[in-house]
Amino acid sequence: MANILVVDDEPLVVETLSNAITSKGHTVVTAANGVQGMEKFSQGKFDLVITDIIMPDKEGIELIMELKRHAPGVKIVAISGGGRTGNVEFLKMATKLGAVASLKKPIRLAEFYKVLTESLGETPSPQSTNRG
Amino acid sequence: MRKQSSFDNLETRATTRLVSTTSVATDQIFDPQSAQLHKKLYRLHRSDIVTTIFIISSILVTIFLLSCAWEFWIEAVFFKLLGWPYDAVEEAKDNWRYIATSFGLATVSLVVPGIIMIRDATERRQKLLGASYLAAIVSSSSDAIIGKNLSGVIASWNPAAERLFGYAPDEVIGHHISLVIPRERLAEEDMILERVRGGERIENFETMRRRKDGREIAVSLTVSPIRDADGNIVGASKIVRDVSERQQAAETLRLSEERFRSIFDAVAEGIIITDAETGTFTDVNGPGAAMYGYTPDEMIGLRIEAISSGVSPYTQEGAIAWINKAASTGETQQFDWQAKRKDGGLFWAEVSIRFAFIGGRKVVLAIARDVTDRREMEAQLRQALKMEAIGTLAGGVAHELNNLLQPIIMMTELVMTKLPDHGPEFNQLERVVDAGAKASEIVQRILAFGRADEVSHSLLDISLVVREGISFIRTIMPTSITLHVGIDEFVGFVRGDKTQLTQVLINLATNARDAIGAKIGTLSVWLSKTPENFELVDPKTGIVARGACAILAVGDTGTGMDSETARRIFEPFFTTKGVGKGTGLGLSVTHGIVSGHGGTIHVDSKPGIGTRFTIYLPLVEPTVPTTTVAN
Repeated sequence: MANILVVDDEPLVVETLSNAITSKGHTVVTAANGVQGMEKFSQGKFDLVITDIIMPDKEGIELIMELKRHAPGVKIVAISGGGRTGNVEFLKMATKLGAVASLKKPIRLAEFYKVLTESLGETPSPQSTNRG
Repeated sequence: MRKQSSFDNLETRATTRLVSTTSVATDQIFDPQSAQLHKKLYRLHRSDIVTTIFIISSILVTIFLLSCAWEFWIEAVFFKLLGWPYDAVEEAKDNWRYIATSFGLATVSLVVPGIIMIRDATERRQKLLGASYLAAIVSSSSDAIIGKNLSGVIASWNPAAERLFGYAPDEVIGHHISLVIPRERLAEEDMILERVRGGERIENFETMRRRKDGREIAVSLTVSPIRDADGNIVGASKIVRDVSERQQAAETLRLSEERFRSIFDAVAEGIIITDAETGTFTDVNGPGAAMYGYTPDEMIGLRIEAISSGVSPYTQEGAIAWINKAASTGETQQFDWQAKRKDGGLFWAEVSIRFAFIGGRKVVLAIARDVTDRREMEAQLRQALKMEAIGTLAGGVAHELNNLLQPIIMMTELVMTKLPDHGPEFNQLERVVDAGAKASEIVQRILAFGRADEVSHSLLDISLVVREGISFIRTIMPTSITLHVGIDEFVGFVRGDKTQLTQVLINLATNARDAIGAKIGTLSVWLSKTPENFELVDPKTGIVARGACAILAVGDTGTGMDSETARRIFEPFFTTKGVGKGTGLGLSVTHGIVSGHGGTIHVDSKPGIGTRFTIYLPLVEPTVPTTTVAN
């Protein structure tokens, strides 16, 4: 059982990912942007943080950097719907900044479960699982 | 005594009766002082002495004859009166013939010399008068007039010569003409005299002569042979005209012209001067002519239409409209003009025109600058801005769609996990997931076009990719279009996205199909490779393809395009298809994909003939070409 923080400004995405996570028996805390995400993170103990990249108030990249400063050992998975400013580079940047994996939306369930399992497991997870 | 001579049409025929040991008739002409001297000497003319002796002799003879006749006559009359013997009277009568003859001879002896004297006197007066006129002419001439013999010794020297050279007559007469010739030009005199000896007249021979004060002056010489009474050439007359000022003025003008011409030809801009009345070019500088592919001489005489694209408004009429505007406003007009080179190539010129007067004629002064690069940059910038806008739009749309697809797909999959595998509901929901996945792929393509995403590049056998693409093309081509395919068995590998490259092929084939329309036509697809040392610069993107490249060409026998359309076809949203028949994105996408693969795409098209697109894609194996962006 793991406690997972999901940060995304799109409620439907948050809800979907939450459903997927809880379906595996984990608990979920959600946040709508980076600022909220930091607040929630500081209030609890999380095994994994799943964060969107492009968000209002505080971008995912900034959140990742702050999380790594506060809790260097935290496991982070970066997700993004792409577009806007070519955030594919941001996903790469996220993994360089310490994210254990990055996923492009729309994320397929099997793929999500796989990353979830690998990220929470003891063995190192692949840095990214981009679909071809 | 020196021989008499002539000087051109001022002819003074020699008279051998002239008593002179110091000068000649020519001298009289050339030198009025000498003429006065000869006037006095003329009184001692030898013929006058002979005539005088003859007349005196005649008078004496006449007196003698008359006295003899008188003797006979007196004797006869006296005898008659005194009544002396008639014999004497008869004798006197018999001597009538003798008497009459004596009278006659006496008369002739008086009259003939008289006539001769009168005639000679008249002739001498006329000659003297003519000589005086000539002397006056020579004396008053503003040109230096110099007489010299065939050895070059100066015989006469008029006042203008004195003024010009600074030498008085007595300083130069009897001296060689080389006195006034610069050392380095002495050979000229030999040449001149040689030609004069041959009877040749030398006109307007421009050279330098030296004054008494050593200063050299520019002169124009006219040298004529002088002939004696028998026609023999005995000397030369030389008219010397000071052309220093004229030469200086000409030199000043030449320098001015040279300065103007050097500036005219040194400026980077083309300068074209057009006669306002005839509309033809009267002058053009070197850079201007080169800009249009002509030499200046070739361009002079042409009209504006010869260097205009001819595409409205870039025509003779269009140019006249600008000229009229310049005329009516009196202001310089500046505009971009689609110009045409001699070889028919088009380019953009920025032209400034205004009216001016040159040599009293109204002209249109045009300054032209090749701004093709600027226009190209502007076009690229416009395209880049469009692409950026599309990219931003695509990125934004993709982001939103992906966020919406996320619950559609994953929620459905979550529901599916609770359903029995492959049950009816499961299968239905599987369709939803598939549709979501397809929608996701479309979004990926939008992102690829907008460069907001990266595509998956892998090593591809380009021949296989094209063959597969062609199999798809066959399904979308109507039977009226014949497909010609020429693919080398193995061209090589490119690093790229198979789906995108297939899309390129399909886009070009679709365009070809639409260009052919309902007519019968041919679509040709060729694939080959360039040599290893291939190098190509895309003028639009600046991308340089070096090394071996795959050449993919797609040609059709459709309607073709004019150059203006061909220039714009890669612009986003530019389409020649009807509303609803084309988005204007197909070739834009094609261009973007090719550029994304480090390749270049070119179009050749002729209206009524067809169109051919040629794509160069760098091959990565077995050679590794490099792609860079040109500065």
